Amino acid sequence: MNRIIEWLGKTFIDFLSEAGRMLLLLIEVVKQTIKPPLKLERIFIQMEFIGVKSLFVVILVSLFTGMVLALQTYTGFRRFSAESMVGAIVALSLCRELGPVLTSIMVTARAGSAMAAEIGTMRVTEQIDALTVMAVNPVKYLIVPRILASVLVIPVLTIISDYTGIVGGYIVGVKLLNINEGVYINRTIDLLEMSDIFNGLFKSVVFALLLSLIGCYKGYYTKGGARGVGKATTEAVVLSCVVIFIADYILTSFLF
Amino acid sequence: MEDNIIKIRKLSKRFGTQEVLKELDLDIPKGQITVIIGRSGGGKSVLLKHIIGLLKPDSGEILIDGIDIAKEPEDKLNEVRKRFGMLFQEGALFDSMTIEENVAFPLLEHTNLSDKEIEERTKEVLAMVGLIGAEKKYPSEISGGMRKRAGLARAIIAKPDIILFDEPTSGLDPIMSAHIDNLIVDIQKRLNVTCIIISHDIQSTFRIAHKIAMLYDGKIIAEGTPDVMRTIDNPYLRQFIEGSSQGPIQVVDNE
Ligand SMILES: Nc1ncnc2c1ncn2[C@@H]1O[C@H](COP(=O)(O)OP(=O)(O)OP(=O)(O)O)[C@@H](O)[C@H]1O
Ligand SMILES: [Mg+2]
Repeated sequence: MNRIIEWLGKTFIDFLSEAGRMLLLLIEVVKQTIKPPLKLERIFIQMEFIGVKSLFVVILVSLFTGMVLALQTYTGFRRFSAESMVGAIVALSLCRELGPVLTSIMVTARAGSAMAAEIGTMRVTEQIDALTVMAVNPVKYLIVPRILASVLVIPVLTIISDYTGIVGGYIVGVKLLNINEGVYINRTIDLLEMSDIFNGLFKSVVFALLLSLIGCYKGYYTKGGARGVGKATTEAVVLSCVVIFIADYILTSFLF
Repeated sequence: MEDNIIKIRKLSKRFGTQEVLKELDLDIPKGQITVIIGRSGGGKSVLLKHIIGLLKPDSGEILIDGIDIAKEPEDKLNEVRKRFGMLFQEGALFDSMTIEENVAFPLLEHTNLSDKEIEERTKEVLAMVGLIGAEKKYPSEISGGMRKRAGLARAIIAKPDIILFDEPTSGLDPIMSAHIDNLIVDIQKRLNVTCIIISHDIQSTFRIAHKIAMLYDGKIIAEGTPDVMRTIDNPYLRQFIEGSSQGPIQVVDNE
């Protein structure tokens, strides 16, 4: 019994100190962002890596999610003859929920992990020390561009994800399940509000901040060789995913 | 009396329970080459990292021209750091950049030189360390000795007034080692910079040093000019210089 309490206490303290350090890093990031000069080139490079190179996987995942969503809602809604609502439900779920979440999870898997691995490798091979020695602030040089790029580019990916998902739903609903096209589209337009889309985008900004901060944080505090880098990468992905889902619930309950 | 650009006073550092530096005192004379020798794992790299503010001491002072860098805020510290160049033991080159970009990095970050001037200067130092032809390669594509020389080029390109070398010649062939030794001596003379070198090469140490300091058990146990060091009758120092496995320094702990 004592052991369990001890373990719980230790885990809790570890969690708090980690959250504290992450907050300190965030404060440093804000400070370094405000402080001139801000080199745009580095941000563009990261935007390309995080955004452009995630585009394909986001489109693919969103398309199939939209398709399966239409299929599932159709099966359910047919039981009480509400097939005409399928399009609206697909669009609502995507814009409010699945677009931002799926996009962020995909970017975590692709770019969040890469951030942890790259920065972590630089840490264990003393490249971060080398930056410091050359009077280049590593937070400004490595972390600021990654976080800014994420926050700028993930909402754009989310819009693309929403759109592709809706197209996927349309293909299944109208072309495969033969729901009346006019009804399908009209219902969607009637029910989907601008605020649904904007709230989803707001979520995506928060997720972007979280996943890039966690990826950079885990990399920045990597210890001990190749194993350390592996550990940092795994932890970054797991923690980002968990935090995204928790933040999603909290945001949903406040926003909508 | 020559003046000392760096003064280290009662510097202590521990990692967990391991005491690496114990109230260490050391003066680094300005415009000279100081070589620090000592056993592998003895804390030489740790000492060097304190001098440039990468590690913070548990207690003690590190004065660079009178400024205690252990207590300076980051901004001030960076001003001091711009006076330094450092070669890391493992090179610490940026693996996402080519050799050329690595070497040019300090100039790109801290000067307003034109691209052309930077390119010329980069070529010049790369030639000095014998790396012409490898400019476009990445650190993972060159040998360990070449990485070391690229690190050296990066350390000297911005013409710093204090240069720290962590084992500049380990892993190089004897000819290249001699060349790098000459290069260091040459740069030192020409620019009148202060050099701190960590070395395991006793012969080269006696050849290039103005001052030698031996680190043992967290302290400097002997220091002086090469001539003085030859005569000091400290059994630890003698054993180290002669490179004998017999003596007070035990390779394997018997206790
Ligand atoms: N960041 C660190 N965390 C924990 N221990 C460390 C750290 N850095 C160095 N040490 C320990 O401090 C001691 C001295 O290390 P250091 O790298 O200074 O040795 P060294 O004299 O440079 O050896 P070598 O000649 O082999 O390079 C070692 O025992 C090492 O384990
Ligand atoms: Mg060392």
